[in-house]
Order: sequence, then structure tokens, then C-alpha cells
Amino acid sequence: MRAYVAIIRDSFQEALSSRVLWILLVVITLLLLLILPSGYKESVTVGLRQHDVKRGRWPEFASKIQQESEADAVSPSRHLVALANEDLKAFLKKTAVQEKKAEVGKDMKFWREFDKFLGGLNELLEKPEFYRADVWENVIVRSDEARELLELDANSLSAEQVQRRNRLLLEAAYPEMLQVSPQTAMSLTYFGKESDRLPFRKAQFDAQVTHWGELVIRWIAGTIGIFVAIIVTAGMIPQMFDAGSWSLLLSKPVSRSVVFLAKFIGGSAFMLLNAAYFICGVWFILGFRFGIWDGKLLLMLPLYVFVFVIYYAVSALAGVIWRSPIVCVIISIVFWAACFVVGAIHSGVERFVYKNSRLTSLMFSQDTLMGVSEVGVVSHWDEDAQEWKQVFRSSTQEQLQAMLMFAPAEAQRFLPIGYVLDKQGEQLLTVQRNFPGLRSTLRVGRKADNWSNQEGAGAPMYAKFLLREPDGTPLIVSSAGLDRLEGDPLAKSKPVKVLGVSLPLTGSRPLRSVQPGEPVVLTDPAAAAINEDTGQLALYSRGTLTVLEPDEKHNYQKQREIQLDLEDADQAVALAFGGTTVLLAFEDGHVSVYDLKTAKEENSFNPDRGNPPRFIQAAPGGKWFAVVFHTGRMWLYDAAANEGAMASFASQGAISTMTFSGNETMLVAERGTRVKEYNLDTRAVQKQFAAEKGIGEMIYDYAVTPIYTVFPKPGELDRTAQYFLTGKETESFENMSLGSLTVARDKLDPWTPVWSSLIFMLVVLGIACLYIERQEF
Amino acid sequence: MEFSSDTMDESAAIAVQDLYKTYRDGLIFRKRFEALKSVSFQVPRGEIFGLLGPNGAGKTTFVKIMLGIVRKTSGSATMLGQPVGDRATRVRVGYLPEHLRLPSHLNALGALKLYGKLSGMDSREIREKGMPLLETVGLADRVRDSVKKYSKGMRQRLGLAQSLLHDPELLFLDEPTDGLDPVGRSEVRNIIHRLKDEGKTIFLNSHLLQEVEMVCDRFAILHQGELRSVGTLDQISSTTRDRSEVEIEILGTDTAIKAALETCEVVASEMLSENRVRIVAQMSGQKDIDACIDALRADGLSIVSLVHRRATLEDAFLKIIETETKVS
Repeated sequence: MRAYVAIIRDSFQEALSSRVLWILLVVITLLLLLILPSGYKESVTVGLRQHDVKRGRWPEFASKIQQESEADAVSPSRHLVALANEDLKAFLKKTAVQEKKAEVGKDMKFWREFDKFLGGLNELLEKPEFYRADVWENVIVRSDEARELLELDANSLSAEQVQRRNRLLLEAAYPEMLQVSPQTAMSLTYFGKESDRLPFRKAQFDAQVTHWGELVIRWIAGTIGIFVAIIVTAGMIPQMFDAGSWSLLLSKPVSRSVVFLAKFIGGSAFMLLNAAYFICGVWFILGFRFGIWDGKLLLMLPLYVFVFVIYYAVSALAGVIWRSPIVCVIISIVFWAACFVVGAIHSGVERFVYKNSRLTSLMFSQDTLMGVSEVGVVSHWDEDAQEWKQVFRSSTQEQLQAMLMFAPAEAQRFLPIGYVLDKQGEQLLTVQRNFPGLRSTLRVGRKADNWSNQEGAGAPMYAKFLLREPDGTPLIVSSAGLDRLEGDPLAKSKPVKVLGVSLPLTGSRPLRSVQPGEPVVLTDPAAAAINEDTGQLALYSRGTLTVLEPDEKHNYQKQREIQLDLEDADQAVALAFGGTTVLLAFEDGHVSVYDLKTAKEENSFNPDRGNPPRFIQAAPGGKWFAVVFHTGRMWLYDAAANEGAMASFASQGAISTMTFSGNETMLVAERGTRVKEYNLDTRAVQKQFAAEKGIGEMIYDYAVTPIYTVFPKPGELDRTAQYFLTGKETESFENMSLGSLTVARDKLDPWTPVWSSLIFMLVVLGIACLYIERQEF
Repeated sequence: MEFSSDTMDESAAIAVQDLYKTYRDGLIFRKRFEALKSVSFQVPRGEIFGLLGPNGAGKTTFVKIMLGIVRKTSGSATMLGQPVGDRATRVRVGYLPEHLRLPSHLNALGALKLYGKLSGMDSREIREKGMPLLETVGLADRVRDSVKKYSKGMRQRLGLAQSLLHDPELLFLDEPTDGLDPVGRSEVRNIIHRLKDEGKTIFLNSHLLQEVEMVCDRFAILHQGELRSVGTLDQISSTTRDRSEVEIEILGTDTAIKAALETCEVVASEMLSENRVRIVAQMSGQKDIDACIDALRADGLSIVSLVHRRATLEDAFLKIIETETKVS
């Protein structure tokens, strides 16, 4: 053993004596010095910034202020306009007129004068007279911080406290428009120079900074560093075979394979030294300058050394066979390219072909089975042809498909709000936001019309959920209230023209408002579900669970309100309601069970190791609940036994959605478009809905997937890094929290690249050892 | 002469019998090349043994087989009583390869430390033995210098030091004086003699026949993979010559001398001055020399000097190689 340790130590010394190493260390030092002056500043959140209005809905916000100010009653909007300067007043008036003509947002007029609006509002927020008790008395102030400020003597408040109080009041008055601001806001500093305020709380800011740190490490250590290390170390193994040194080594009482492996380990020292210096440097800077002492970041060191070692194994094998540094470099680069091509083909097929067709929503009524894919394509199962047929196509949907692939965050704004199939399986309904202007309309497809997509009546602008009442009637839940579809959805009202100007939303509509007398305000994150048996409606809105019950006229009345004791009320949530049980599945992966009889949390689970859920549904009867996670796993909860377990299906890990087709049966979408009906008690498959594989699917299954499986995946070890940092097995687009659990997340599958790369590396090193043992030098 | 020995002496430092090595090249149509053919000889312990042969004779292959670097094709070979290839035996063996390349990032002490550890020594042993050894090979004042600053001769000295560090019983030296100046060569010869006195066995592989002749007890000559001769210098010489040469300086006229030596086989004559001639004659033994002297004295010629010429290793080597080449 002593001999092999000596070889490893010698390789370390060799690395240390390399001039290139010292040049790289100097370059790394310069890079670290470059990021060293960066830091952050935390200050109280006051005033308004452009990103403070949800989804950029500034024109609607301006219009709302103006419209409400025109009413006679005292209101915050009226008060704001009263306090506003002349520029702001003029701007608001102009915007309201354009809004009526539906011209706002169609051109850049609004944005050209936007600074006037923002500046005027910020001027107002600085004024002590912004708060007047009678103006704000009807505004529901939920924030403890705001209540505390309001309880203090107004005259004793500092200017900063006044601005903060005013900001909180504004948020309370316009909850559907304004983002809830954190108490303090973060900004970046560089050499003491401060950036604009960032839309993050400290925890989010830390997460973002850690993410940037990880990106810097990924690019510099994980890409450039590895490339340089491959070139620098390419000569080490071939050099070992120089006649005058290899013969001497072999004359010693050592195993030639172990000598090679010791040399290989020693060669990795080069990467280790550089990566350790850089990663520890970044870690210290994040610690000292940002107060982020995240030990997980240091896991990147063994990870990227491992990535290098995979390439180095290939280089070493080439070195053993050809004993030429140039050949080593060429083979390593070819291998790098091969890994990239195989990975790109696989992820390309996965992303653009497989994901397109993967079902993420299932609807079943009578004999009609319909599914909606990840990119919003609706398909109908043709029992005769035994295949899925695309139906319900529209131009908006086609535009969305491309958008969902390349800009999923933006596309969220335009996604249809749920799909409802009526009880007879004859009519499909959805609410579609249209380009431009974000006007919402009902979209209807009927079996008799071969499910063609037809534009129906206008829908509430801020529609959030489309649900189905037990009798099959669709119910639209919006931040403005509840609307029930009681007429023909295709019966569009004719716009009334006044002096040549079309006035929309006039005349009769098939929707009837059924909201309770005391309106339920829905602020994000929100969720809604209907109890299939009782018709009760459960609404979740930022930590508050409200249960409503329909009366004999189908108007909903508030039955009870439960304030949930949550650590983080900002996280997205999915909701299911069955029997007297409400199941809430949160973004952090935990599932809470509430019993409406006791109004208490009865149980709490973390079924999928903190991974976010995607979909939740209660079975009729309320005995079974299913939660499908973004990892492709499904968890079943038995309400009667108050127990939950990962469902024992062979397809666990490949499930994309499900729906209960009866009290004891459910349909599960697996591996793309395959749907199986399972018996909930026996877990036996009762029926299958799967088309024969096409050529594309066969190529993917029998060619691309096997090659991808056996091929190493060093490039995908970034996913392992991501998993180390977040602890999550899935990743949202650009690592953003989109406030919605249904948004597609990439499955990280963090351990597959580790295992496949490790096995590949061992095989390559094994071949090299075998070659050395058999070769005569 | 153990040239055709059928038995192997287990106590010998090196013993090979009927050793064959065939190299194969190419993947499909594999070319065969016989590097060693039925080589058999033994090197007793405590001997300095020289292996000679022209380039491509199979000398390096033989050493590599002994050290386990190359596998033998057939035959048997033992080193220090153990079959060749035995890893544990290599602890007792030192090796100085031809064209030695030492890690250039190390200094002399660092290199000794590395190779000492590879030979199973601990740091304390290496420290204790390293410095005196570097003094012995004349590198004491350059121990801290990087190897890359060393001349070829200095590297060769360091190579010799590493081969001796673990106090081996058997030493393989491949061109040990390569790159050394005459003083250095003399020092190496002294070291080799001292090692012999300590009872070590030294296997020398060199092209410098005079050097080998000066230090080796016995020799083996390899040619085209076959062993041509093994033994002491006299034994080898006797195989190449059946008659010895005698050089005689005579006072007398050229005509008288020629007449007196009519019965002798004169191969060369040189007129040194008037009435003074040096001749070289080939004679089979003492009888021929006595007859020659009697004939000269009988004719009244005076003998100034008589030298019995001794055969050199180079003569024997060239004779063997020449004969073989002509035959082939």
C-alpha cells in the first residue's frame, strides 16, 4: 500500500510543480477578487416598483383606481385620486377611457407615460395624509405588520414607517392587483454601489444567490475548468509509459494495474486542487459577503471532480493504448461530444415529442375519455380505432404549444383554466385567455360537432378555476366571485354600440353570479375544489380555508372559515375535497389532512421526500384521495383509515395524472399516453387505453432510451448538483416558483447520471487495467 | 561452461533453461518474431556477469523477462530461486534501465524517497541510507536540485543510487556508465567491485566491451536471440581460436630471419631498423614456440623480446558475431 500511496503523492507533487496549475490558480484568484466586492443590503420595503403589480397588470390597476374613484362612496381609489397630482389624475382618466375602448395594452401609449403613473403613486405613498381612518375602514387588513403600524400614534411614526404603512394599506385595498411585499427588501451591492430593489425576501434572495453561485461554479469549474484539466492532464498517463520510467516502475514489487490506478488518482489531483480553491473561494465569499453558509455548495467539489474523472478515465484509456497526449485530448473531446449528442437527442425527444403528448389531465364521463397533454393538446380516446385523436384545436392553443416549450413561465398567463366534461360525456368546456388583451372566453367542444373548438360567451376576467358541480354544471371561481353556467355557453351576447363604440359585457350572459353576500377574496396562492357528493365548495386563499355550501337556488353561502397555521403561506397549494375531509398538498411536498367536523389538521404527511405535488383529486364517496407528484409517483390516502401510502403500481415514477372513474376505480396516465384503469382495492388493471406504438415511439423506446441508459451522463450531473442544493427531485423552469403546481417541472432524476457514469468509468478503467496487465512493454 | 546444461541450479542468482520468447504483432495477420530461442545459462550468486550482443540480439528482452516486465513464451527461468514474475522477489532486485527517465519535478532525495517506497522501504530507512548513497555516487552537493537541472551523467548516478537503495541481492545494470566521464566510469567500476565484495550478484548489460571485460567474471554472448557463448574470457576465447599469436623482436637480416623461420607460420613482419625485425607468428603450443626459438638461435640470430599475445573480449565477440553473420 505504501508504494501506491507514494505514486499518488508523487502525482500530487507533479501537479503542484506544473506551471499551468499556478497560472490557473492566479486566474481563479482574479475571478474570486472580481466577485469579492459584491454584497447585499436589506431595507424596509416602501414605495412601488414595476414588478410589484401582478403579471404586469398596471393598465388594469390604473383603470380600476379611476373607475372606483368615480363612485360616490368613500373608497381608497377615490382618496388616492383626491390626493393625486394633476399629471397622475390626467393619466388615470386617459387610461380609464382606453380601457373602456379595450385599447389598453394594445400599443405602447400606456407604457410611454408609465413613469408618470408610478412616480405619482410613489409620491402619494410618502404622504402622511394617505391614511385616513374613514377611507380605509372597509379594507380588510390581514397583515399583522400593518395592524401594528395602524395601532401606533400616526404622529409618532417615522417617515419610513409612514411609507411602509401606506404601502401595506395599498396592498390590502387591491389584493388582486398588488404583490404582497416582504417587510424588508433586498438589493445587491458592488463596491458599495446599490442596485434597484429586488423582488425577493431574504430567504428567496439567499436561494437566488446560492443559485447564481452554483451557476458560476457550474460554468467555471464544471465546464471551463474540466476542459482545461483534460488538456493539462492528457500527458500524464502517456508519460508514465516512457521506456526509461515505466520499466523501472515495473521492476518494483508493485501491481501494474494498481500503479496505473494510483497514477490516475494522482492525475485527478490537478482538478481537485483547482476546483477546491475555486469552489471554497466562492463558498467563503457567499458566506462572508452574503451570510450564506450553505455547506451543500461544497458538495459541488466532489461532484465536478467526479465529472472530470469520467472524462479523464477515457483520456487514460486512450493514453494506455496509444500513449500519445494529443490522441488523449482528441478522444476526450470526441467522447465529450458523443455524450452531448446522446444527451441532446434524448432530452430533445423527451422535451419536444414525448412531453408534448404526455397526458397531464384526464376527464371521464360515461364512455367518453379525454386527456390534455403537457402542452395543452386535447385528445379523445377513439374506442373503435384504439387510439388517441387530437380534438378541440384552436389557434390560441397552437400558439401556446410553442410558447410552453420555450417560455413556460410566460405561457402560464394564457393557459386554459381547467377542463370540464359534462356528466353525459357530450360537452367539453374550458375558459381560455386570449391574445392580446387577456380577455377570457368560454371555449366549447361538443361530441356532436366532433369536439371542434368553438368560442363561447365571455368569462370573468380574473377566472382562476373551472369546477364541476355534482349535477355537472360548470362553476367558475374567480378572484371577483363565483359564476355558474346556467345557459348555453355558446349563446354570445351581441355587443351594444354606443356612438360607434362597442361596449362588451353587456346584455345577458349564460353565467350567473352565485357568490355569497360576503365576498370571498381570493389572493394567490389559491386553490379550489368541489365535494362530488355534497356540492360544498372549498376555497383556499393564502393560509385561509373557506367552505361554502350551495343553497336551494345554487347560491353559495359561507359555511365556515379556518385559518391554517402555516409556516409559509406563500407556497403554491393543491386542494381536494371529499366526505368531510379536505386534503391540501403544498409545494414543499407536505400533505395536510383537515377534517371539517373538527376544523383541525388531523394528520400530516411528507409522502415524496419533499418533492412538489402536481395534481390532487378526491374519489366520489370521499374514501380515497390521490396525490400525483412531479416525480411521477402517486400517493393514495385512505380517509377512512387515515392512512396514506405510495400506490403499489409497476408504473410508479412514470405517472403523469389520474382521475377517479368510480368509487373504487381510477384511471392512471402512465408513460405518456398509456391509460390504465385500476381497481383501488385489488390494484388490478381492469382496462387499458393504449394505442399501438408509432415508429417514433419505437425508435425512442428501443434505440434512443437503451443507448442513453448505458451511456454515461457527465453533463447531467448538473442535475445532481441541483438536487444537492434544493433537495428536490424536480426543477421548475429557470428555478422559479411559478405559484402553480400544475406547471411542468423537469424530473431531475439525480442519481441516474451518477450510477451510469460511475459504472461507465469503472468499465473503462477495468479495460485499461486489463490492457496493461496483458500488454508487453 | 554450462552452455548446454540440462539441470538448473536453484541456488543460482539467475537460472534459465530452454527459454523462448516470441513476440506477436498485428491484430489479424499476426507477425511472429522470435526474440529468444532456447537460451540456457546460470549466473551463480556473487558473480559479476556480462550479457553481450549486438543491437536486437535479445539482451533487453532477457532482462525484461527476468524482471517480470515481459512474459516468457516457454522454458523455465528463476531469479534468486523463485520463478521469474514473482512480485515479492523483486524486492531483492535492483534495476538501472537504459535511457533512464526520472520524474523531473523531484530532486535527488525526492526521487530516492519515491523509488524507496516503491521497493517497500519506510521513510526512516530511506533517510538513513539515501544520503550516504548519494555521497557514494557523487551527488551529495546537488541533493536539493531539481532532477531537470541534472546532466545525463548525474541522472545516471542518481539512477544507480536508486537501484542500490534497498540493498538488493541482485542488480541489473543496463549500460551503467552511459553518459559518464572517465572518472565517473572508474567510480562506477569501483562501486561494482565493492558490491561484489559484499556478495551481491551483478548482471551487466553493456555495449562497452572493454568496460565489461574490466569488471565481469563471466560473459554470455547473445546473437539473433540465440546464446552463442557463455563463460570466462579465456573460455570464450578458446572457442574462437585454436592457435595463439606470438610477437618476436629479432636482430638479424631479413633474409636470415626468413630462412630460420621457414617452418613457422609467420602472419606479419615489420622492419624496425637495419638488422632489427618484429614478426608475428601463429603457434599451436609451447612446442611450436620452443622449435621456433631453437631455429633462430641455431642460425645465430639474437632474440630481443618475445610476447605471447592474449586474446581480448572484443576479439572473441567480433569473431563470434562475424562467423555467425557469414554462416547466416
